Amino acid sequence: MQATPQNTIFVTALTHTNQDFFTVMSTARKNDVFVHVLKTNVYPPNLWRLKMVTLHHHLKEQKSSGKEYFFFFDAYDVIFLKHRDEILRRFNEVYNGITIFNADYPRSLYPYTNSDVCYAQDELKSTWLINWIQNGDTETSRMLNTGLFAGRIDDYLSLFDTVCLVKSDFLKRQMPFPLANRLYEDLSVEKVKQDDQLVFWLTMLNYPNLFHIDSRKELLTVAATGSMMERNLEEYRTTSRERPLKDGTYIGSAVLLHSAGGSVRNMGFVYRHQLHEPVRTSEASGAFIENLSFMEK
Amino acid sequence: MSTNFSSHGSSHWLPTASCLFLVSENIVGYLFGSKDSTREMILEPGDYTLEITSPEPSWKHSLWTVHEIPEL
Repeated sequence: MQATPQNTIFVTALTHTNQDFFTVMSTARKNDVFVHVLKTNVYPPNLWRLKMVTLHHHLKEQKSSGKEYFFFFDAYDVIFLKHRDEILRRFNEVYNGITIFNADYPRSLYPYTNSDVCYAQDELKSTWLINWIQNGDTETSRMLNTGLFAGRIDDYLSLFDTVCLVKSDFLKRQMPFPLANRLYEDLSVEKVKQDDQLVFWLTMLNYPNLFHIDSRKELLTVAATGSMMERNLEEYRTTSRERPLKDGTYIGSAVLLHSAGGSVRNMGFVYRHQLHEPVRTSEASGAFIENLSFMEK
Repeated sequence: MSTNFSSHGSSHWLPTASCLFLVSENIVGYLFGSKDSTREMILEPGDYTLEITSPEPSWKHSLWTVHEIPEL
């Protein structure tokens, strides 16, 4: 069975309702992607419950109503580059039966910290673990990012059960990971309780075969859109750099971008390349281009 | 529930409805001109559509649906 418009849902969780949210949705709208927006009465920084628990609840419900596949994306920093049908075609080519996650930037293991402060990260402390995960691979990122992932609902629900077990194991200091004691010292218990990405990569340490990280940027990728100022978006697919997969501005064959952080600077990429629902009149289009010109100086 | 976003925007919508940039060049300026990217807007559960009354002809798109998930 393959993913089709009829059996696939696109889901986000309403973590932030700001301008970036509408930018994301305008790129979805342009590409005929209809979105399920999940809303609950939980707020950041508890992204575990806000994103993952609500997603789990919704996927179980959608599964019972006949849906088979899903795409999950952050609500304020993801960009749809291609039409829904092309996204599904690429997914069907790439998907190997294991939930596929976008790879984070190389050497980024967010949030590795012993602090409870929101967005805190102790980058230097994570070096040993990054080296352990990369296992000598210096060309592609094996760093998991939960801002953008997709797969078969059944597979993901099974993975989520495992993720919950690992989370419980960490909190009870029972993780089977051979270097677990160092993680207990380095990572904040409160952060593990609240941060979805942290719990997922803890799970990946124990069960790497349950994860498909899109290191080669075949479907999904993080992208440094705030630094991508070329006029032609396609140039970012044909970089001449010697080690392109380590380059934050190279997007490979990806059809969805994770701009990791949002903000006007990063999401302005959408307007530079007119990836949103277009304006409807010639007068308006002219004004639109004129308005954008200052962004390129 | 259906919510209409006017391309001209009423005084009710202008402070928060940044989705208006979808259809109006003026709102593009508003988006880039604003330094406040954390402004909150309440979305109630239901189906959201974008209904354009100007320019003609009018058209209407389904945008998204908001699902209220109980606290679990």
